[in-house]
Amino acid sequence: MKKEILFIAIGLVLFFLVPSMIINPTFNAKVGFVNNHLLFEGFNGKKALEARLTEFGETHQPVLDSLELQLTYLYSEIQAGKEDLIPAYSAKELAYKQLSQEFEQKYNAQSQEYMTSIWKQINEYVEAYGEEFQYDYIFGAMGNGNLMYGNREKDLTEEVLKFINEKYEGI
Amino acid sequence: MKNMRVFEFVLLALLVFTGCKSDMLPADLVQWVRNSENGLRKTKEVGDLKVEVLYKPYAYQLANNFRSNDINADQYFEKLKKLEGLQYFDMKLSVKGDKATDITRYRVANETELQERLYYLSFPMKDDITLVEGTDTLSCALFHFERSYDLADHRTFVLAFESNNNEKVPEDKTFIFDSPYFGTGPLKFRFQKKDIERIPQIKLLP
Repeated sequence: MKKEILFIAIGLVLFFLVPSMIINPTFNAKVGFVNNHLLFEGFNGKKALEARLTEFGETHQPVLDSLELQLTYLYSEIQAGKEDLIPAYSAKELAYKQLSQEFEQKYNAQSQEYMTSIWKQINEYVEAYGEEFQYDYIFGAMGNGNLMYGNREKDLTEEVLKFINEKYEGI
Repeated sequence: MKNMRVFEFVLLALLVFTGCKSDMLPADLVQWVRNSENGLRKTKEVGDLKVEVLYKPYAYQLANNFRSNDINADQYFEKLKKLEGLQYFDMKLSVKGDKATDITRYRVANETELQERLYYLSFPMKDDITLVEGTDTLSCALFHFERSYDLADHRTFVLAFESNNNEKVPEDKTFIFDSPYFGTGPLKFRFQKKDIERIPQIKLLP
């Protein structure tokens, strides 16, 4: 009788355990998650490239500001009755629009390029982290629903951030 | 009690032994420097690009030059004088996971682009490499793109930066490769003082 109970118990355990091991790939796997937003914001590489983007903006913006000032002046003169300045105003306005568009395109391209390179580095370093600490999965929480909940104990953001910043600095 | 004394002596001897730099045969020294575990060869893979940087101590360079385990001390020190004043690195660039394409042809669509790429690798790329040592940021004093006509999947750049102390007072060095060409952002490789201090002495003939 005891033997029968034992067999039934083992059978039940196997019945529930084996399918869950097959269906759930994270069963027994080492799993963690990171907050992608915090990782991106805290990554030193992002700070460095952001500074460059700011520098880019700061060198181009004064040219636009100067043109804008000239336009304001010409506009006020025209309003005051100097209609002979209209062609000059139109030419300046066109130049302003073209320059502004060119600047925006360059800025966006540069910004996109930087974003790509930042994520390239973050991805590589997180992969290195996963390999070094033998993780099977590291999920990224973006706040867009991909990962709706993660137990705080599995949150690796802080230590991954430290690791990727060290990697970025070449250590 | 006697056993205890012997144990203490052995422990002390071990400490002294491991604390001292050992003399190493030139061929072994070359292998030691190339072994990434010793911290003088660093690799990064970002996107499609693989970058490897090797710090080349004087002894390593001279061991390579002489190509012998029997190096005469006088000849060694004579050649050493010619190297002093600079610190040397090799940088290897390759395309990750693609042994058939080297960086000269990576994402190159036509002959014009190939020429542009070769020009960039030969000259302007020099300005995208710096070495930060202490508070100093050093530009390349010597930059050479090795044009090898082989089937290797990497291309090698021989680099040198000024050195004030000729390895006598090592400090942390950060090699920075920041090329807009490959879309990786700045790539840093830090060579730590503790690793430089551990470089073994080369074994010379008297």
